[in-house]
Amino acid sequence: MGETALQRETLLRASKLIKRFGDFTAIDEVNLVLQRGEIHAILGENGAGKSTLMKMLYGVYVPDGGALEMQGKPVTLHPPSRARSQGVGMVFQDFRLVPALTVLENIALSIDRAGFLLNKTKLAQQIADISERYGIAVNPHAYVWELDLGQQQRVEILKALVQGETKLIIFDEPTSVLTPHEVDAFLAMLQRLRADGYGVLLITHKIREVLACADTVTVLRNGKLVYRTSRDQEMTEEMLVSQMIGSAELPRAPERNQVVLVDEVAALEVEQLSINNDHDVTLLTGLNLTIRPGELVGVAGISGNGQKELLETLYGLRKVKSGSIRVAGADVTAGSVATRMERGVVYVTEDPIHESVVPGLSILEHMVLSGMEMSKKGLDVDWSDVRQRFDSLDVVRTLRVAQADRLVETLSGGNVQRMVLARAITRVPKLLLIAYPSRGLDIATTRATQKLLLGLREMGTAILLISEDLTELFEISDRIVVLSNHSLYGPYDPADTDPYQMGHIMLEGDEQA
Amino acid sequence: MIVEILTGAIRAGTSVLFASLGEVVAQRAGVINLGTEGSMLGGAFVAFAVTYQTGSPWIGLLAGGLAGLLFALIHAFLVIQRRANQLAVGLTIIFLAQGLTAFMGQDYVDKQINGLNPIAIPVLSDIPFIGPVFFNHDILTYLVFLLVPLIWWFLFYSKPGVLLRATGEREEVVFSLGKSPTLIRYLAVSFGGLMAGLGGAQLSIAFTHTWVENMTQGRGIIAVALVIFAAWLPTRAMLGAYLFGGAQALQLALQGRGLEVSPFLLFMLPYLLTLVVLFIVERRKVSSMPESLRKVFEGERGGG
Repeated sequence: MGETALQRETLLRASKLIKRFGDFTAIDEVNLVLQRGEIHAILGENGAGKSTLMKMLYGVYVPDGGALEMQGKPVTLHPPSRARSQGVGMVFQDFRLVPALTVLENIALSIDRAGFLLNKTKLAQQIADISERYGIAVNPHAYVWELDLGQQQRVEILKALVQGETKLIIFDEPTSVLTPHEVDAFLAMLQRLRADGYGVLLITHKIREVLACADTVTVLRNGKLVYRTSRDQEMTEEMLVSQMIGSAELPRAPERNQVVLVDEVAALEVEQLSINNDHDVTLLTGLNLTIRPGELVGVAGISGNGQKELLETLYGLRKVKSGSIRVAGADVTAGSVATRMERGVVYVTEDPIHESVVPGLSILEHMVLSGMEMSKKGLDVDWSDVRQRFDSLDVVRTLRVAQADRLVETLSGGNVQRMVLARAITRVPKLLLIAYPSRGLDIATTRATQKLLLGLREMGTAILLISEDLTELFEISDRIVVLSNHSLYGPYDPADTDPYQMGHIMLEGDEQA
Repeated sequence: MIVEILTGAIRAGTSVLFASLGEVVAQRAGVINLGTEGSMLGGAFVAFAVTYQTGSPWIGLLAGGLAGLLFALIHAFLVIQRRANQLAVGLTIIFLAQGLTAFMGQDYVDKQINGLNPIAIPVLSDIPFIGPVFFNHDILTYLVFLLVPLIWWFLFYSKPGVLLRATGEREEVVFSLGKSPTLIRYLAVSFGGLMAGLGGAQLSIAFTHTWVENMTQGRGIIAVALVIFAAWLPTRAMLGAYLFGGAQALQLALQGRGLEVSPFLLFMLPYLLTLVVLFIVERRKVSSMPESLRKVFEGERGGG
């Protein structure tokens, strides 16, 4: 698209870049070349080194070895302000925005050029021009806290584009906060950037998007460049996935067997439930939801629409404003967490590092804290027995939980997630409330987790699963509900709908409901 | 009587307004400085003493402002650099200033100075009602009238102003922009101290022309409280400060008319009013408090 018209000018050349953290080599002699008007995707699993590589290019980290060139001249890019002045812009996954300031003020902050006055009219015009050119409209006078994540991302992109020097833009997992429609618009914007001669570096693990837009693909695994291909050579989904995970065998979506319902009493029955947020403003209202034993209900929605608060309320951590919650036929609306635990409710939070980890305790101690039974030896716990049982647990092996003695606070996010999942699954809950189980996990472990969840479901566990991955929801849910506009829409049968329709409901709600 | 109370409101409220404006800036950058009271008291005493010694209220004013700034620097160092608890440091500075000024000020009680006197602005001060209320004051009052829109403009229409507000909200964003939140906070707290010092000076060398021990009587604390009432806006800080001044003028007027109420009860009036105002304001649903301050009150961290 417009490639012939563009001059093939090399924007960035990185040779043999190395980054070490202590003994650990995060990036090992990686080469990278980016042309003007090129979309270069960097693929890799979590921990493959994608973010580390990009942070060197954006000047956050100083490389421990290797050389960087911009347009043929050797450069140093550290600190980020220098990278920006050299023409590197970055759109982070966790946005660098000040919620209490307006869009315009946030953009003004990021412009490095000196100047005391804030020319709001001129800047607003500039923002409007760029917004229109790239199809990323956003009200410059809105406060950032009023924007959803997709709009906040637009502000980040505008920040990079307003800076006149910007020649290449790094996107870190940009589509993880977008609905399917927004992803299409985003990909269209990338084409526009390419046509205008920007260089684009796209960090992602979504292969479909790579196939849709990338000119060149680099696959990283364990800090090394393992594969590189371009549009005029072979570029297939199978090839890319097997390079990412380093094995020819692709993990498949788990089979979903029909579950025969024995128990007619619903595991969870929610009627006309309303919840307020932390500012005592209505967050969710009029929710109705029933989950039967052996049923997996997926919750879709753009994050921040009350997912966290809904689970907290169901688990008894948050006050109910009105309505009722019944677990296995018993009214627990006013009950505490303990009344739910007695009835076999287990909750896996979206933020296990902060909400489930006790600093100073090992994995084994965390397992005993909730989940595994303590074997008594006199007044003490028989730790060797607990350890034996821990080591023999299937779940522990399937999820590759770290060694029992490791202090949990030293584990990476993905490893904490594995432990928390293993702990929840050993308990064989009657009702499992689980948020973002695959966050921070690689493809293989994600598949294993999904399989374990379906295994629980076949044993009669009712599961309420919150996920930001629509593909995952469609693959393993019996029914899908959507949180949007303070309401819960659905349930929908995954067989009767598709991700686009879901995406529409995530944004606009469901008029037919 | 209404003209008398309104004029008195502005006389009595100006010192509080100075301190409040300074504190708006400091808190916008994410530092709450209860030591404002200490800065005011230091400013009041030093301005008086220097005016007495040199005979020049201008030198006295400058010295008073610097004294306020010095007290604020103690706060800035401990809170921003050493990460000490903001509320504890602020309170301690108050007591330090009270002790220090009481000790050094013994010889200055009952002394006479030639301070800053009201200047009637020609023509404007002849307007009935409005004239005497607004246009017959000392020069510092006129200065503070100008500072209100100036600070507002700075905060919302200048790049350093936006940067300052960003510092109070998300220091990590400011940091990622390659700017130093520490430096910005130092400057903001220093400015707050300077303003509190000037406010104290107005109290001793322009409003009362006297020095008495602990003469600020909590005005610095009121100034900090009013910033919350003002939702961190200079214009509303002005309203709050003059409301407090009005309560004070009313109290004086009632005492002057020999009302059969204990003067101690009347003396409570302005403070009571401030509490009532805070009670009403804190019921607001959407908080406009800068995020860094929220962390101070929720105990997530001690300092800037």
